[in-house]
Amino acid sequence: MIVKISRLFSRSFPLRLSLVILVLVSVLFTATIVGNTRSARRYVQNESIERAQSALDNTILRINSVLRSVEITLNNLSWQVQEVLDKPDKLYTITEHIIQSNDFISGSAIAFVPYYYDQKGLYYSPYSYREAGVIKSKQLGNSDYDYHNMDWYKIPHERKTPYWSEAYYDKGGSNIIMTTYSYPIYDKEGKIIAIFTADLSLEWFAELVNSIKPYPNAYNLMIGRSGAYLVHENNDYILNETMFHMATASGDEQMVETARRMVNGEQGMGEFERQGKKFYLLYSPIEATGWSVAVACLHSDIFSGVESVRKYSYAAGFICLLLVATICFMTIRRMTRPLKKIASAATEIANGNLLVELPSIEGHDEMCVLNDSFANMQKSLLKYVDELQLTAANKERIESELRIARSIQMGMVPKLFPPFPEREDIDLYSKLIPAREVGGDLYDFFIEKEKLYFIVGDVSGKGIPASLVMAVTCRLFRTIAYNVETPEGIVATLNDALSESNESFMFCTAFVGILDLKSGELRYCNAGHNPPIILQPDGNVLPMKIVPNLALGVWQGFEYQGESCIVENGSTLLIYTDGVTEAENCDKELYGEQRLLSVLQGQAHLTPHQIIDHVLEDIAQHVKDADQNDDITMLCCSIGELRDKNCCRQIVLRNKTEEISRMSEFITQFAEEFNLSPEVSFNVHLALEEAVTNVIMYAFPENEEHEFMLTVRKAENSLILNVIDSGKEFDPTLQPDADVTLPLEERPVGGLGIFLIRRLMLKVEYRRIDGKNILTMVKTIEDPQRDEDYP
Amino acid sequence: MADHFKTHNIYVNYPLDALHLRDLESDIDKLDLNLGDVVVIDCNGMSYICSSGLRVFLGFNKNIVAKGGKLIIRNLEPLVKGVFDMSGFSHIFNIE
Repeated sequence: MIVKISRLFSRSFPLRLSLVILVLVSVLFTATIVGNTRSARRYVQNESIERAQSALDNTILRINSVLRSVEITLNNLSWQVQEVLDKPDKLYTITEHIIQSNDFISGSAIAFVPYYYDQKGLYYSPYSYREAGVIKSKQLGNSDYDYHNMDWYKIPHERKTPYWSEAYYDKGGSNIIMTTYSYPIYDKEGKIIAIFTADLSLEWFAELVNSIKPYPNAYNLMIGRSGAYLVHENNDYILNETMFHMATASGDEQMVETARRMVNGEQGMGEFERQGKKFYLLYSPIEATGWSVAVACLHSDIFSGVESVRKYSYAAGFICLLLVATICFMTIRRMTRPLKKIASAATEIANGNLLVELPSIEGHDEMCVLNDSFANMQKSLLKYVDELQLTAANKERIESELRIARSIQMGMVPKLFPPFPEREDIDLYSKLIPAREVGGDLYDFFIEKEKLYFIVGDVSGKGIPASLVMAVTCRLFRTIAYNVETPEGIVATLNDALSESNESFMFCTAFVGILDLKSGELRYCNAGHNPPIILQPDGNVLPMKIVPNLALGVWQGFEYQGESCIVENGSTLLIYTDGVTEAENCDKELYGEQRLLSVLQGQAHLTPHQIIDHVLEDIAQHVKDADQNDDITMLCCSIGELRDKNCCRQIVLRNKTEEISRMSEFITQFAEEFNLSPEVSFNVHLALEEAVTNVIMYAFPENEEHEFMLTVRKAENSLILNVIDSGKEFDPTLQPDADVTLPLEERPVGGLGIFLIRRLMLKVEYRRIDGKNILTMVKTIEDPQRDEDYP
Repeated sequence: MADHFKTHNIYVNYPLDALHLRDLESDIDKLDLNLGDVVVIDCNGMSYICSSGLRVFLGFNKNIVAKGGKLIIRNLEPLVKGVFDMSGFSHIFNIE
């Protein structure tokens, strides 16, 4: 249910806006009513207090006037008492006169001090009182009514001042609740001789007090000096209960405090609760007697008007709010109706119906502006879609042409792998991935007369221009390579052909190689290309040391320098373009040759196809989401062990002199197998023993046992010898030749070994790779001239 | 040849590689060489010589010449002779 309502609100703008307005208005409304009520209450409260106070004041004024009249009556007649002192019985006339002269006075006595008149005895007190409208007189004092000990006599006698007594039930006299005013009478010496009194009935007081009725439920009370009730709704309380006792019994601290203030003769206002109702209590003192009169007004009586006004306000407010909300909702809904129409039109447009009719809106308001801009958008959209269709058609045409160009280009490089399934000595795989549809990278290879011809090249630039030069270079290589036998010849011819009429100054780096599949000799020529990588059978990976020369098409007639090396069995060659090492990731970081070398480390056992996939995978990991920025080409060729089973031998030796005999056997054996002449065999023995003895004696620390390797390979017309050790670095080719012309006495005993090696071998090379000394010696074996050429 | 000069004979009928050097060296050590003595090394059967072997020959030769004696090398095989030629030893040894 709640979900439904909240969904309704979230979907209807008018409803939501109406709700917001409703909430706002109701907050304002409530605040106004609360504020109004508060000030009305304050006003009413002040008013009511004033009203009650004035009633109270009025009453007190009347009470005071009565008390005053009693006091005046007594004061005025006191001189008559002194006049008739010598005639005691005449005193009754005075008392009777008192009662006659003041209607409030119910009794009057002149109580003499003991034995004032000897003949009258201890007590003498003429007393007159009203009974059933008739004034009667009697002598008051006797042993039963010992007035000398009564408050109304004793207190003024001792204080020598007039005195209002506390209220009391007069049992001796008229049996009503009353108070007595006592006035001392002095003789000529200033000595008190009698107390002149007037009794005042409080019945009349009660009537007067209870006449204060500012509100229907108001009630009144009067308390005496001790807090005893003198006037109260409940007659049983009168002179039986005190206000303190009642307040303490009900636990009303506030009322105790009020009572205390009242007894102290203060004027003011207090609050208390009775039977769950709240009352205000206004009180004022009667100074003459020390009493306090109070009027209690019911709280709800005072504020009943305010409360009902408040209720009416809320009701009216609620109805107004409902009206406002309904009107708001209707108005907003009517005003936003075009918005719905525009929205449905927008949905139509979004669904592809661009020609949908927009609602017509009159006026110049925001709704109209929105509708106009919508119409504009519709027009632009139509125009844009038309243009887009045209552009897409053009693009499609170009793309289809490029696709065809790509398939033509891909058709120009060998794509059938493995290319030489019948051969067991080599395996070859290559891959060309253009950065765009067509690219400027190229590769080609073929076998002719047991020689593998291959080229890997990279035309400057990318895309269609590069692809045209690539096509030309590819075709030229095929044509030239069949007719020219050396790689430097092929490269020079290619260069001359490309340099001619090279008006757009395109150039092409290339690596051209011819691998003799019988001997493992690789002859190559580099035209500004990056060096290929050799993966050696022992897992080592190193870039080839090559002469850079110059890129093709730059300088007609440039003399290219060719090189050659022997590729060991089990090695793999990887020729690649700079698209590999310069593959960039999103942070423009290059893939780099170092990473390529390390990823190839120890991978010589993989097939060329696996190696290329392995490298591509690693490049992909480096590049991640970045676009390919250059064409990538790799040609990988592995030279298997099977090429010539008998052309390669190797032996592992330890660094002990005894191993010399094993070496000798090894040499004898391969000399026989390779069908070497005795001279060659002898010379090879001599050279190898020199090299091996050197390693045994000096390469390793004494008393440590190490192994090193000796390899021999027979190429077409040469023998390649390798001594590979991991001992301390030592380049024997740097040692000076011994001077063999010196006479006996001057000949040094050492220095002969390297001299002999140099003399016996066609070529001696030293390399230090990965902490290994590699000494390579090449001996010509089909050149008898050379063998006989000893000095 | 004077009578008081003794002639010593050493036979090297094995390939003189690093391993067999000690054989030759012990033979040389055993000799009781006096001033002016002649040593004949018969190389018949020495199919091979390494540079260390050459060094031994050279050192021995210097030693003998210093004592007024003479070292004669005989019956060198052609290939070994080639090495002696190449290293210039042919000029400083008495090769018969």
